[in-house]
Amino acid sequence: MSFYEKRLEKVRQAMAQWGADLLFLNFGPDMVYLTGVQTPMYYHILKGNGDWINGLLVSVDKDPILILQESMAVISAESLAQTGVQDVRVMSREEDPKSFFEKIVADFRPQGKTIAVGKAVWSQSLLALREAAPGAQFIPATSPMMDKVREVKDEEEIRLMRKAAEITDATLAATISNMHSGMTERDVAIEVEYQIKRAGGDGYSFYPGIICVGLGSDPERKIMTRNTDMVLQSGTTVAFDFGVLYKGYCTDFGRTVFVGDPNPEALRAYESIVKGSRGIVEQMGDRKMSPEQIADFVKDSVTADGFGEYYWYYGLGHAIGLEVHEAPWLRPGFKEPVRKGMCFTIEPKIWKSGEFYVRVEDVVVVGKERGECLTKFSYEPQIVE
Amino acid sequence: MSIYEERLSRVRQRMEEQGVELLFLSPSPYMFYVTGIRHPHFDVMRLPGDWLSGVFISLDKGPIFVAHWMLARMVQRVMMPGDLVSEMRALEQDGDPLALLRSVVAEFRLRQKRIAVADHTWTRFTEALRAIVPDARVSLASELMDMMMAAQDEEALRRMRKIAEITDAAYQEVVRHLCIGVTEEEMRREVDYQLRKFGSEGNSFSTGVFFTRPGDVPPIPGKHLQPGDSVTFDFGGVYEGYSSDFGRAAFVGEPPAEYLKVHELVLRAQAEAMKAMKPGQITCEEVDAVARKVIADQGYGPNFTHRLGHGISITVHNPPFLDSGDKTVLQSGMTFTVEPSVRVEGRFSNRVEDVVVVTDEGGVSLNTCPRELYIVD
Repeated sequence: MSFYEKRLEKVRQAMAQWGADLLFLNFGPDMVYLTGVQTPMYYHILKGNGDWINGLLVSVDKDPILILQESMAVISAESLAQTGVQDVRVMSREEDPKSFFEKIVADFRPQGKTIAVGKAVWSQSLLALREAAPGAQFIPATSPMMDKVREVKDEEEIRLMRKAAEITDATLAATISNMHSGMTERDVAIEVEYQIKRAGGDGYSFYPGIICVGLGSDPERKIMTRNTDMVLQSGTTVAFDFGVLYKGYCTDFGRTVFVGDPNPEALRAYESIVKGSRGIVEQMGDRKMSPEQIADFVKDSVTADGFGEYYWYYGLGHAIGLEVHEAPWLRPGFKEPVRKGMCFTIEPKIWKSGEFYVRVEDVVVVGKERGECLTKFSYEPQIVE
Repeated sequence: MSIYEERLSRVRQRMEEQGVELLFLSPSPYMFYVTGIRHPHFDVMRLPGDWLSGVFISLDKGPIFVAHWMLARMVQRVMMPGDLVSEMRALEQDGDPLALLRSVVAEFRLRQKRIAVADHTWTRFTEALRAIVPDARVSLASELMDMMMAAQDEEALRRMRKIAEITDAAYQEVVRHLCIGVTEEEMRREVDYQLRKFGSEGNSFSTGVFFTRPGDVPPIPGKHLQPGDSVTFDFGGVYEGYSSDFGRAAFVGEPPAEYLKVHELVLRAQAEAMKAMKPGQITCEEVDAVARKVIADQGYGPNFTHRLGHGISITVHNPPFLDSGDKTVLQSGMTFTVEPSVRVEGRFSNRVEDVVVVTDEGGVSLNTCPRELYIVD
């Protein structure tokens, strides 16, 4: 069985659990998961002519049907060629979207059935589904259903995450070699964007963030302020927070670069989070710890090193895969033990306003006995002049 | 009045005309148009209740911005002076999104229950709305706002002029990187890099740099530029939320006489179409026909295979379209791409593209980049 077939099986089992006879997904992570078809860039830009029709109809017994507007089919040609879906229906510009859609849905005999709808499906699609399936019941926004299916990554997904991680490592290496004092945060962010593509990424998974702190810099500055015109100077820390998008899969990654001679306290803080990171990765084996415990472990480790006051506890990390942020989150309240095949970011950070901000972030896959960092960039403090 | 206050009053006027009592705008060009609010993480952060992120507007209240507290705080940090929000309602940690939505909707006295939502609003939202207002009649914001957003106000034009300037500057730097041996991919990366260097926030769509080589049918991917190739560019950037879309052509070595004639022809088609773009006097399909005739009269009709252009402002494509079938009459302030091309398969390709604003004197290009054929020696 191909991995797409296995994934379809998993989804059908979840549908049975949820009492759903039919599932409608639009372009997005769930679609990539089930078919390998990537979201065309134009999907969110072009409007009209039945754009709501683009989607995948899955049932518990019939083969899934991929419905595409002609314009989207043309744009998706490359991923369509590799798709696991046999039945693709392309709607030409002249056809009426409503009747085109209704005819396809009618084949599933939807009257009175229960239809689950993907979490980011547009209202217009649901409207059309309602009209095409009178008497049907709807389970809106299958967040828990599909998200749970995607929690444990299969071999192929891990292979793609590994590749994305490799590209991430290469991106940072190339960026650092082009980095020097006198550049602004924004200059470095632009360099990251460029290097991601040079290293083979499809683009960034989220807007890269460069945060430079030190030498009494703005104490009001917050952790999400990034890519300003602040100039990198000797004595500052430069924290990286960026990710690569590769065939739909995301990384989320970071290191800290020291400009000139590192501030000794910043260096100690950095070493503390590295130690915490290394320590927790060792523990991330199948069913050994809950997200809450994982978060506590690193907090305790950093606190024991004396940096408790400046440790950013709110989130040690989050699951990641086809979306940058997936559940569960590594923080209090999440108590179900993590399982082999889940992928998480481990991103401890220490923020001392105006003095330094150190962070490291890796993508880690939970293994049988211990975790494995998919991103392998060195933890050696990086120094630029 | 700030630009957003002006826009809000226009939106309310439309709402009144169409009998819409409540307007919900999820993160979208619509929300940005009326409030100025946008955040790069809207699409990425997955938080509880993310489906109810957006603004609520009625004839006398709002815009009320509702979101998970983390997102609300992030938005507050990036808001610019003049951005229009009457109040923020944050979903607290462990709060119930449905209860929050219920309380927000309760503040609006809806008589006819006529509610409009932004296109592409998630089903989760409309289903929740339906649970709260069972007899709601839901329509789309596009019906209310698309035509209004097609004519640019001063502020929109200012931003579009700025991104046109950035795009022009980026192109003039990029084109110098054309050299024997370079690949399309390297050129695409250079375009993206220069756009950012000159101040673009990102790409308005995925960059195209195309090498057309005589005899290369079907085209080999990953070609290295060589003498005899024609090169076309198609790319755009974003400035303060507004998009550009731009194109030029280049040739490697001495261009054949035919190619030079085609280059002039494409430019003439663009110029004549632009001359015709006067408000109240011509429809979109008629503008398309002007350019098409110029090209067809020289025998290249079958080589101009797409519409002449599209509306552009916040997003790179919006209605109306310079296309046969679109009978929209041009209005002052409408902005379009005017992008004729001639592509002869297996021989060469040529195009030009500028963003043009409709004025009483005809279409005026926001781009000032020269349109000469760039020669790579």
